[in-house]
This record gives sequence, C-alpha cells and structure tokens, in this order.
Amino acid sequence: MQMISLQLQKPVKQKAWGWLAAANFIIGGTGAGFYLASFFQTLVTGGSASFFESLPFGLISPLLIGIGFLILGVEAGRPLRGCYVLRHPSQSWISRESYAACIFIPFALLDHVSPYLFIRLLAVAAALGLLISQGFIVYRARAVTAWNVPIIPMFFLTSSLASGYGLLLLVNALSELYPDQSMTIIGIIFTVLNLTIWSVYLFGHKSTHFFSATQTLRRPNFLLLSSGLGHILPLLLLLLLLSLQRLTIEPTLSIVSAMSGIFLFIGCTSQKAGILRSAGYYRAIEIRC
Amino acid sequence: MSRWVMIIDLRKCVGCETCIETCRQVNRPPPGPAWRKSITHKIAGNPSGRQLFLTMSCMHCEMPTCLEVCPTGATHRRSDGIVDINLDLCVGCGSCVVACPYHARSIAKSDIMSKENTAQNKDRIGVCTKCNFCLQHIDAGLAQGFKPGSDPEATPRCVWFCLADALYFGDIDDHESEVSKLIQDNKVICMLEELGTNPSVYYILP
Repeated sequence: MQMISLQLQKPVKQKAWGWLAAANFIIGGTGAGFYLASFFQTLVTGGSASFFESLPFGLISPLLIGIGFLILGVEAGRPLRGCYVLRHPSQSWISRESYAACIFIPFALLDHVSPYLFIRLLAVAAALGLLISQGFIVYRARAVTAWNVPIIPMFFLTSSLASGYGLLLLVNALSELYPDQSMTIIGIIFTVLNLTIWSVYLFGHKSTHFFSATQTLRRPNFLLLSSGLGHILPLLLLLLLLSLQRLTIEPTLSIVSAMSGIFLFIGCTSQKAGILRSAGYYRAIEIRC
Repeated sequence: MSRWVMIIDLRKCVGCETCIETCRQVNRPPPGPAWRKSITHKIAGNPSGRQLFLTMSCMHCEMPTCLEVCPTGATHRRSDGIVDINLDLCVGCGSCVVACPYHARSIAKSDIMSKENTAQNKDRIGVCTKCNFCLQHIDAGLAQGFKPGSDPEATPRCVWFCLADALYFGDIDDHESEVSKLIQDNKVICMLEELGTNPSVYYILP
C-alpha cells in the first residue's frame, strides 16, 4: 500500500533565535577563527612569533568571544542564571561551548600576558572546541530543516576559520604586517574549503523541504554577496597577493591584503546570517498514512 | 511502571477546540503560542468538503530531541514518560524550542506581557513552557488512589473535557488499559515518525 504524506502545517519561520543569537555565532566564531588563524601564522613564520608578539590577537579573540556571549545573554530569557548552562556537558553542545569559552578566555589572556606554548595549545584546543560546538548547536536544532543537515558542523568550522583569517588579514594590514607566502596559501586553502562546503550545503541536498527553506540563499543577489564578493573576489586578491609578494611593493600589498580580508569577512558573515536568519524555517507538520 | 500516552481519535474530533480552551483555563499558560493547538486540514479531492482537525501539543517523546540539547537539565523525562521542565533551572536559551519538531515549546518574553500577566506569570517569564500532560493532576490523583485516564481527578484536563470523546489517556504498559486496546485494534500513527522520536501521542486516522 502506498504511503500518503499529508502536510498539515507549512514551514514557518523560527523566532526563538533572533539576530542576537546569530551575532553570537558570527562574532564568537570569528573570534575563535581569528585565534586559530593567528596560531597558524605563528607556525608558518617558524614559531619565532614575530607576528604573534606584534599582534594583539591574544586580546582580540577573547574580547570577541566575550562579546558574543554577552550578546547571547541579552537574548536569553533568564541571563542571570547563565552559570546553569555548565551543568550538562555530557549531552548539550551549549554546555560544551560554554566550557570551551570558559577555558579559552583566561588561557588566551594568560598567553598574551606571559606567552607559553602549553597555555597557547590549551587555548587553541578550546577555540577549536568552541567552533565545533557552535556547529553542533545549530545541527542539533532538529526542528529547523536548513540547520539539521550533517554538513552544518563542518560548515561552521570552515566559515569561522575563513572569517577569522579575513579579520587577521585586516589586522595585519593595519599593523603594517603582510602575510608571507605560506600564510597566503593557508588563506587560499581556507577560502576554497569554505566555498566548497558552502556549495555542497546549498546544492548538495535533494530534500524539497531543505531546498525551499534555503531558497533565499540561492538567489543571485545573495550568491553574489556570499560567494562572489565574499569568496571568489578575496580568492583572486589572495592569488594576486601571492604574485605581488615577489615584488614586495608594500603599499599595494597592504591594500590587497586588507581588501581580501574585508571581503572574506563579509562573505562568511553573510553565509552565517543567511543560514541562521533567512533560512531558519521550522519543519512542516506532516503525517504519513 | 506506568508509561502515560495519549490517543487522539481523528474520526471523532469535531474541531471544537474545547481541549485548547480547557488547557488555557486550567494551566493559564503565559501569553504567546498556546500549549495545545489545532490544525484544520482540508482533505484534497474530497467532494463533501470534509476536514481533518488535528489537535496537538507536546508529544512527550521517548527520545526527546529537546532533552538532549538542554544545557541546564531543566528539561527532563520522568520515569512515567512525561517530559517536563524545571522552571527554576531554565535559562530560556531557546535551544529546545528550535529542537522540537512539533513546535510544542515557547518562551514568553516579558515585553509581550501586560502588567497583570507579568504579575501572574512571574516564574514563567523568560523560560520555556509547554504541555506537561497536567502532571500536577496525575500526581495528585495517583496519590489519592485514582486511575489516570479513567478517573477525572487523575486525568489531563483536555482529555476529560473533550466533548467528542476523541481524546484518550492511559498507561500503555497496562495491556488491559483502554489506550492499549485502542492501539491494538486500530491503525494508529505518530507524527513525524521518521525522526525516531517515538512520541507518546498517537493518532487514529479517519
């Protein structure tokens, strides 16, 4: 006998998580991504930490993550009970994210004040944990079709790394520091990886519900912003940077680096904002008989 | 041990929404989405214009998606299968709201409340609320020796006041209970079964 699916209620937009929650994912994710990108930068510069010491990344990341959590506190119904979120790390990704932030912020600050590799590694692990947790928080929202897809945790990781890298390029340019060849290649890898995951997310799912929920994200204007201006343009600029590095024309390097950073940051921010706000539709209510 | 379930006979439901109003009167939920709601669905291709009235609330799932995301442990599942919220622990993060595929949960924000409402719902502002199968009646009734589903003192109000006798409540682990027999004798379905949540609310289709 053939099963008939009756759609009793169409997908409606979720209202539980508004712009403030989205801001936490964007700002906190960028903060953690910035720290990880900076860590990669110290690795590729031979660990001599010339970049590391001159950059305020030890302060920027904890500040951004702290701001993200404060914003989230405004969105929560009972922010004064905030410490209760640490009660269930065995099952809740929000608890895990909170633990990661609680570990990351003091260790990153401590590492900034008195740099020590072990402390830095702990902060790196916590930043990575925070990004993974963010992805799973969104993925576990089973009522929201566009969020409950297995690629979401991977997307949140790559998007945060790319946006963090974008911010790092900007901070570097403002500090008159230019990424070397290896760092530029890392940036190209982050950008290509995130663009690939984004494309798989947008076009790799065949479910009709998913497809209609994410329709806004496939509109030409949005694709132009998120993929064209947000990824392809910075990718071209990074490739240009790679060729300019041989010529070492510093003002040009600075402008190209800053531009690619800004566009990459905008692209990644628009992706997350699009997923969390524009595509946040509840699952339809259906019965199968 | 008992496991409470509800059965909704869609052959009998007339869409009067008495269950919704009773819930509102008894539980006085804070403003916002009601704990119980009704969906009216026109059956396509039916010349008589027949409609399907589907009343729904929290499904009290065996594998609740809301429970696994709760960071505070406010959402918990009792041994009798009722999924409840400890209002003193809830931070109103909304993770359970976006995790529940049945749209059964909501958070009342104080900005949508009148002064009177705020005073009445102090403990329910900014936290998640939902249907709890009237567990206060079940517990009180059981303590006095009443049987949920049979005696009004221990039965959820929506079930007891249903004008069309379309709602049933009882212990699925008791093979002699009315709900067990209804499940055995009829083709019952659960909503969004493919998600594997194993709801405790069953529907008998027309």
